[in-house]
Amino acid sequence: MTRVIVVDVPGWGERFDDPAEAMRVFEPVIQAIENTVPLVRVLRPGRVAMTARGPVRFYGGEEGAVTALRAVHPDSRVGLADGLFTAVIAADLADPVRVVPEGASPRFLAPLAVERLGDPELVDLLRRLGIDTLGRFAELDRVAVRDRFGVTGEFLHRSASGDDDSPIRPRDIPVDYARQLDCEPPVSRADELAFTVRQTADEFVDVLARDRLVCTSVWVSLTNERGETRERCWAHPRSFTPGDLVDRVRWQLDSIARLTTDTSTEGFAGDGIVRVRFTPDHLAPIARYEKGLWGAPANDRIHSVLSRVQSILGHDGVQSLTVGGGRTLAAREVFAAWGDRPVVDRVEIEPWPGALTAIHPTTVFREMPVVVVRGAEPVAPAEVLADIPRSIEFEGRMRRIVEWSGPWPLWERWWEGGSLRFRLQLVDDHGVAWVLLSEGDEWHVEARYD
Amino acid sequence: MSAAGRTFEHMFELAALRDKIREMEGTRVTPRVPVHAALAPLLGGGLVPGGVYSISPSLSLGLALAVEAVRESGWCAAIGFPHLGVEAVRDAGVSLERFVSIPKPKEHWATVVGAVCDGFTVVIARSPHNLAPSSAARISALAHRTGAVLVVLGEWPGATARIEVTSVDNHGLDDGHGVLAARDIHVSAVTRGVTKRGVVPWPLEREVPAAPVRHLRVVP
Repeated sequence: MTRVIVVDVPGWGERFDDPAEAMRVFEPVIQAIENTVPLVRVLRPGRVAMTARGPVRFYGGEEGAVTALRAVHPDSRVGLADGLFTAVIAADLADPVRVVPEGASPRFLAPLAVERLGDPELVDLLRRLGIDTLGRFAELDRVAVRDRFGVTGEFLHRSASGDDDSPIRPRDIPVDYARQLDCEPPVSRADELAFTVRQTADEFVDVLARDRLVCTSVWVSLTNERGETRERCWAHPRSFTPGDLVDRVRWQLDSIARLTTDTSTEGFAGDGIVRVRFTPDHLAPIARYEKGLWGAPANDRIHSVLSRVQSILGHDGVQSLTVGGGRTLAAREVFAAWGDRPVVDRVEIEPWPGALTAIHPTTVFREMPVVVVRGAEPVAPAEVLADIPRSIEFEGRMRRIVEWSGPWPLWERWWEGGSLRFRLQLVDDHGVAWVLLSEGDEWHVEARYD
Repeated sequence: MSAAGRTFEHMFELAALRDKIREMEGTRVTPRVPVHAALAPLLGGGLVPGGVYSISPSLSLGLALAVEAVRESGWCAAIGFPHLGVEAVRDAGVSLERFVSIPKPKEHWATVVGAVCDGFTVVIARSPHNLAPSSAARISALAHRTGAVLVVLGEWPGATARIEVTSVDNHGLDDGHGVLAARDIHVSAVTRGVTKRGVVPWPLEREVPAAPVRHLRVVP
């Protein structure tokens, strides 16, 4: 029986709205583990599994291994048991580590609720039959279970009995299911690579589907021009669609990039990726997973158009917008790259004293350019202006002011010693309205109605 | 065949031809894309699908043109607005869930606008200064084919209509007091040589206070 270690950071996935972001932030944890353990299988962001043999040898024993792996993240829990199913539950119940001794799985699992099987339909049925623990389920005859519940039932029965060791064991996968893309010329941007690799992903899924198979776990390997290869094994809760595979390629390249430099993919992908390869790690009959195959997102066309634009301009080239909270106009705007979910850390509905409430300007400067306000003399920001604003000088052009209002004070974090700023609204002789904001003794253009 | 018979045949052919012509006319008259009530009378009731509207560099006007077209469904993109005011877009009534900004298309302007025309209902783009006429023609053709309405802030050769801001009345400010509360954007629209004038209220849902004076003038 294969001894398996699962490292789990509880609630990791729920901390992020976006799985890509969850994966990116989790990447350093995986890398830390991979420093000592070569074959780490990612079950989902926040949870990885590995065969125990390597780390146990490296750290000189099971206790040593789990203690060492526990240190990769302050919130992590580590479970070690026979087989993946038991190891996942051991990690779930760990405080913060839990080792289920060899051969002790049935005893460990027996008192647990059948909900642990994670198959709501089966659980519902078992509950109605009065079978409420894994132990009672395990007592059923396996052949009878298979006849009644099919392959899935048999697999879960094996799990509940503590003798499933299939997922971590290297599988005998026919090599012809693997698909690869050779890039000529090499591709260095994640979004561009994602765009290029789509067809290969389609083909990979199609060929499997023709044999009534789906892939639930896949190796994605990226090779750069220097011949270096980075591989990662990805598991899917249901099965991979082409879009899922493309995402994994993007996440994998992004996370490699994130670890090297913040903004570019220099380093591993700097010279470009020349090959992407999908190798199935675990396949399953299509019937069990059919549900997960349908239901494509509603706006595929928009997504493909924008992905194409992102492949030209970069991931940040296309932005989705939302409104957050804040007093200055720019602080209230939340931008997120297309495909990422915006992170709103201040809520709009809170009252923001000093926020401009009436009508909002069409142009908002995030870096506010300096502007000179003149009356008879330059007019400096103050609670009461020294003179009526007559003109402003902006981008080398003089604009006559025909109407004005302010200044209004704008306190920001005054309790932390923040400065007092003033806001001014002006209308020039071309009908363009301006919002100015003071910064020390200078005026800056915050926004414009144009 | 007798003369009477031939006439009968001709009549038959004529009827068939007439049907055919009616059919062709039917396919040529595509429904207009809805536009804000203040602009509808200036633009023959609505926007032409696949049309290119060249407007003054006023994003308010651009949003006024776009808002009704994407109110229920459809996507809107703004290209080349690095300082886009998000709250203004939302205030205009454009759903941010179906809106994207491509702030800096840089030298890929034509490619990006072309790509987005395939799938988006309205594309608002600030035209670059150095766009080649051939690129403009290519984009016009593309918009025509996909049915996307392209609103260009700046000049555009062969635009469906040209709309200019002639003046703006700003309301709410008064000698150091008050806050900008409303704007009346006076516009003139030129379609096939015919100029019409109107007032776009801002915010857009505001009633225009006074009925605007509309001049109808045929430009020779």
